[in-house]
Amino acid sequence: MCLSWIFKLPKSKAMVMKIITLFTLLSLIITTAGFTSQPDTISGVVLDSESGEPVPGAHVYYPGHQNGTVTGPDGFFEISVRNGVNTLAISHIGYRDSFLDISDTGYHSSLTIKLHPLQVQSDDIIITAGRMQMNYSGIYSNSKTRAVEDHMASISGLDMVTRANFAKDPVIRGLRDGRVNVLIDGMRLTPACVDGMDPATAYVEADNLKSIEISRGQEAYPLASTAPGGAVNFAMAQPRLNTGFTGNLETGYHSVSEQQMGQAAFAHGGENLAFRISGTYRKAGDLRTGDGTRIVDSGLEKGNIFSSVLYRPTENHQFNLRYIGDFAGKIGYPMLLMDTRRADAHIAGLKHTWTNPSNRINSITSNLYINRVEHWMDDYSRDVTQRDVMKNMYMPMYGETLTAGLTSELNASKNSHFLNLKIELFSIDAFADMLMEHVNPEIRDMYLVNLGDVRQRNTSISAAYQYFAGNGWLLGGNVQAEAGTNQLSERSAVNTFRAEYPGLENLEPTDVVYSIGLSAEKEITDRFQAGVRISDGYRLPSHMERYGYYVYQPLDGFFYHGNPGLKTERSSQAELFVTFGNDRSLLSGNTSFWVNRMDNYIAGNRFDELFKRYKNMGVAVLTGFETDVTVQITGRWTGSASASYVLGQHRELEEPLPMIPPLKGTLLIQRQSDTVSVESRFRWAASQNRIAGQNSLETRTKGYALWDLFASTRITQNLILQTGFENLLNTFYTDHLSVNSMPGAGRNIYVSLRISL
Amino acid sequence: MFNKKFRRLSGLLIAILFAATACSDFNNNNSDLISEPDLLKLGEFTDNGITVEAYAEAPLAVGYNKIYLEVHEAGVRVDQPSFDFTPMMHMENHSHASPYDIPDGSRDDVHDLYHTWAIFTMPSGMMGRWELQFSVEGQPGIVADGIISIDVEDSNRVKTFMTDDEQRYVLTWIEPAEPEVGMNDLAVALHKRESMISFPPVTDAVFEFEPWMPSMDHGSSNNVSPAHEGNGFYHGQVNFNMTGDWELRFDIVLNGEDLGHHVFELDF
Repeated sequence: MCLSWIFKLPKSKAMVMKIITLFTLLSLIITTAGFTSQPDTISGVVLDSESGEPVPGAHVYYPGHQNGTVTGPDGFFEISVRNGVNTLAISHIGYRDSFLDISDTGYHSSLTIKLHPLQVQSDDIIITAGRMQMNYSGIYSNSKTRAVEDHMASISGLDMVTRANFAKDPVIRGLRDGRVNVLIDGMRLTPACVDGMDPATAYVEADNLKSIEISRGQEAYPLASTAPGGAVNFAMAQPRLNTGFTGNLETGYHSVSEQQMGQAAFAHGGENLAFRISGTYRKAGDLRTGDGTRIVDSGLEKGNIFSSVLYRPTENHQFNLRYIGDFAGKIGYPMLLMDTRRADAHIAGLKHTWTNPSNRINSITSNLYINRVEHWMDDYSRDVTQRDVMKNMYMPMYGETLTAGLTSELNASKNSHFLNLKIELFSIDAFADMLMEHVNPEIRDMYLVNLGDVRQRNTSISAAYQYFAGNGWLLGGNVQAEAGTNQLSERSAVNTFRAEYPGLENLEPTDVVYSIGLSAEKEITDRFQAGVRISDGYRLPSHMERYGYYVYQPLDGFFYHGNPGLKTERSSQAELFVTFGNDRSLLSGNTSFWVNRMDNYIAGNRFDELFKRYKNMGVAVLTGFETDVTVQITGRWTGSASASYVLGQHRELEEPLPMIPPLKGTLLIQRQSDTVSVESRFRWAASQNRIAGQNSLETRTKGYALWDLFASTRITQNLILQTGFENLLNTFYTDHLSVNSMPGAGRNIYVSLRISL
Repeated sequence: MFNKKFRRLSGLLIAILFAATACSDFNNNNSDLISEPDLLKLGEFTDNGITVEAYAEAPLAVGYNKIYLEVHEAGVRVDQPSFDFTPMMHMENHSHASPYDIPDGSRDDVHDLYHTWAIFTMPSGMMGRWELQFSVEGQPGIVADGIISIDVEDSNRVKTFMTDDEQRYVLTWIEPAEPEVGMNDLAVALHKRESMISFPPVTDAVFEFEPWMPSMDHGSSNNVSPAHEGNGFYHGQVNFNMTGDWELRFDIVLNGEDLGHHVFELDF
């Protein structure tokens, strides 16, 4: 089993190889002249034979010999020559092993090795978590009409907050919101709804995606940030060159919510210009739960357009312009006070990749982006005379955000040293307000501002370093520094915060934070690796934590006020991980144990019966584990099991942290082939009795087990039919991270048909 | 010696001198000439050669009102007059005054006029009519007496109440005049009705204050209950965290005696 980082970089080219050859010849001359005593090495790059993209984390070794190396994030490797050994082996999960005869290459050092994928799955959405490509990518990983959340449903360590039958907030190791970075193709997006009804997953469709990359905790790769929970990056699909005209159509139906989905895409790949344009539409009615009831007003309707243009003027330069437009109509949130009336998002970015700008520098990638989100919600369809909170009051609310940024990243390597440097600048502008209209027309409307023209500007630089030290050791270190400024401009918001915090002089602080990490891994045998990672860092409070005003939290029934005076929050983490097996063994998998001690933990502090204010509230500790095991039963049959657990405790409040997922996992058996694939999956969760009973309205949830069955049939070369029964036994269940205990979906029969043109 | 030429010359000289002194007198008089203030004129009267004009910043209403005065003789301001003043309401069966202050002869910074204030406890109308009664002494011995009839609009800024032992009080809500979201200065005044015409300030009351939004069922935080700052005026702070319907709730205690719970309503 290999260690892998997932960095997608364009392939190298002949010119670069010539430079490498020149350099190697030069060093050869120097060596023979006796100026240095470096060992002889073979180096090269490993690429995917289908896509031409580099394959990071491929194992490069001499068969029969234990030592070897692993390709870096850009696919490059360097290995010392072994006298008398003529064969070099390269292997990686998902590809056929490759063996190279190097007997007459001598000190030839510009190898380009192409690995052939085991299946034609170039359309599949690949999930990677941490530095592992998850063994489970799901039988519907190439379905473009499934909601994005469905692709993330069974990843250990990743959970999702459910507020409706739509758009779930990722939770990594028990942390979410301002503690987890959610990116769309490396671009930050700021949700506009103060009630959390529009996480970034609301604006992305499976059709837009190539892969979902997840970092758990303060990892350096692949998504370094100061977020203590980690990060989720929805990497967008790129159009391919040299493919001519292609297209596909997919239509699907889910019985449990009478949801119809349609997706169509059209693409053209020329020699150096390619584009892809696609659209997705979905419309759903009320969701039926396991006890047969329909959750009234839980339907939704939305459309999504995605266009991407790829331009490669020379072999070294690539430009990728992409745009996502997402337009949602009414989305029902029956467990919350309001429904979304309309939500629009425009996400645009230009990415430039410069391959091999110089010797040792493998790539420089820059990403310039801007996105805008607008969100309208109201409770006009509700009976406000009967509810407890805001009784007799309609409260239409509006929110908008503008996020813009520039990221630039450099990847360099020399021998067994890999360096990644990144600089990032971004700004967030946010505004939100609400109107309170009493049912009695004689009572005057009330108006307040929830986010008063808040602006945050951040700059960060980070460096991550890895070194294959020999004897199977891999050492790593990373450091990051981030500075953030804050501004509050709207007049009544400024007056409000001055009135709420009369002792606070500066409402617009500037903060600087850092995070550092160290890791060490050892390849103990070729089937067993273990490692440890420690990290420590601070994060900046989010704009909601600082400047949100009068924001209702259904979890505890309080209205929250922000606190401009918040101090930065600290997280110190340690992780022990073990990887076993490799792509040739029967059993493979990984396990991680982790601890996270947080200080100055930002949470809501009770102010009176109605209000809480964000405050730094001492120490909170979380700990847990994830484990994934895959069994290669036969060539076609695979079994896998995963489980994860989080324990969270707030020391200062002397009670468990709220919204912590219980012990849960997945068990599945899969048969994959080119024509028919089937999967039987169990999703299970234990009951959660550790609740924040004193300071919130959290309730216990019972454990559950769900059984899903899927089948995917390639009817013809161009026609794939997917069918499935989810929650086949129609179990009534509630996930613990479901706000106000919205029950999960009952039995769902789904069908989708995909035509490739 | 007093020949024609000399007489003409001296005449000219005298004329020049006279003109010079007259001019200087004229200049002095120019600086005492009044100009039309940029305020709402309430009325005027003239008595014994002295004219008294009354102005206000806005139409008078129930509550605390600043009144500006100009006193002049034929356009020339009278310096340092002394005043006597009473606002009186004439009702069908009787007349009564209300809390007021007497102008002290100083001129205010903003409008450069003599100034005072009155708290009108009722509106003009069917119940009666209001008058401002003045007695102004310019130069010693020269007194102008007169009245200016005024119109007072209704408002909810005054509460008159009677305690169990039949003591009557006037509670006036003065600030904020124009409420805004955020922290506002809060000012109230408390006067006691000693007689029909005597309303002395109450200087040792203790206020407990809470703003409240009845439709939202909550108040706000960081409010400061009004504390006495002189002459029956109490100052504090009120925090409005949103626009809408608000109640200003006051509990008053005077020397251990409970003066009751009083609520002013506002919406903005």
